[in-house]
This record gives sequence, structure tokens and C-alpha cells, in this order.
Amino acid sequence: MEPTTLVLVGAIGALSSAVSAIAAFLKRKQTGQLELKIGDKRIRLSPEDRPQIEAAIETLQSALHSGDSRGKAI
Amino acid sequence: MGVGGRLLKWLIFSVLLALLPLAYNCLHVLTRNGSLSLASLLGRGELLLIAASISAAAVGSLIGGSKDSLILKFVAGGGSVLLLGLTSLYYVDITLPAPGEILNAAVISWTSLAFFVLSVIAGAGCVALEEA
Repeated sequence: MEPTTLVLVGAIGALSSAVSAIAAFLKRKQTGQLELKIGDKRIRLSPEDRPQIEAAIETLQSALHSGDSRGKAI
Repeated sequence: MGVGGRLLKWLIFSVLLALLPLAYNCLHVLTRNGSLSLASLLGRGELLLIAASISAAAVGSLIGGSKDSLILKFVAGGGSVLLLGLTSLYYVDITLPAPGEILNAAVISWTSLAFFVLSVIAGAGCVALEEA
């Protein structure tokens, strides 16, 4: 096999790797995913999680305003 | 660490450090002959070994990660495995010539340079996908 053919085959491999990385990046950007890293734990949030996130924020806010011991701890 | 940070770390500690023997070879040639050419520097296929090690490390970075974007990881890893195979086979091919066979150092150096660049591109794709 000619070296040029070998390089062309390699170029297809390199191109597929690069395109995959770009596709993954664009996919993440389009879906609007957010990754939170807390210690060793990773939490991934997507737009579908929005109702739960809003509910959690409301609970947190009411706990803070009510001034109970749990709220103070937060 | 973000994608940019991971890529920078990989470029410095994997790619540039792997190129150090070539830098030494460059100094060696300059010290002895004084004339430096691509064929004298890469004519024995050293860059193919470096390209193979970069591809192998890139594939390793994908193993054991999360299952997100699995198909894209397969494609990116497959590209690096392809380059790993091609560079390894080509290195074996040029280091074991048939008796009386004369190899063209210029072709070897340009081909190995092309394989190195392609391995860096494929490796960067794998490293970018590492924790994606």
C-alpha cells in the first residue's frame, strides 16, 4: 500500500475523532446541560429538570424565611 | 477541569514531553553535522512511535468514563485505534526492509509527520470527550 493511501486512511480516523468531539460539544450546548461538581459527586441538570429545580429553590427560600433551625443551618 | 484545561494539560504533558527525544536528536544532528533536514531528523520513523504512543494514551483516556455520548466516544476511540494500528504497522514496515531494499527517507519523514499531526487531532478529540 502506498504511504499516501495510508495517510488518507489515517486522516479519516482523525477526522472522525475530531467531528465526534465537536458533535458532543454542540449536543451539550444545544440541550443546555449544566454539570455541578460537589466533591467527588457530579450532578447533571438539563432543561427537563427545571420544575424540580424551581420547587427546590422555593423550598429553600421558604425554609430560610421561616427561620427554622434547618433554614438557619442552610 | 474544563475541556480547554484538559486539552492544555494533555498537550504539555503528553504531546510536548513525547517530542523531547526528537529535540535531543535535533541537537545531536546539529552538534555532529551542522546541517539539519527533515529526512535526517525523522527519516528512521521515530515520529511514528511517538504518534502511536499519543494515540494509545488517547484511547486509554476514554476507557472507564461515563456512558454519556457513548456512540461519539466509540467513533473517536475508533479513529485513534485506527491511527495506532497504521503507525505501528508502518514503523514495523520501515524498520524491517527486505535485503537490498532502499528506503526513501524523505517519504518516511513526510508520512510520519502526517501521521503525527493526525494522531494529535484524533487524540485531542478523545481527550475532549474524556469526561463528556
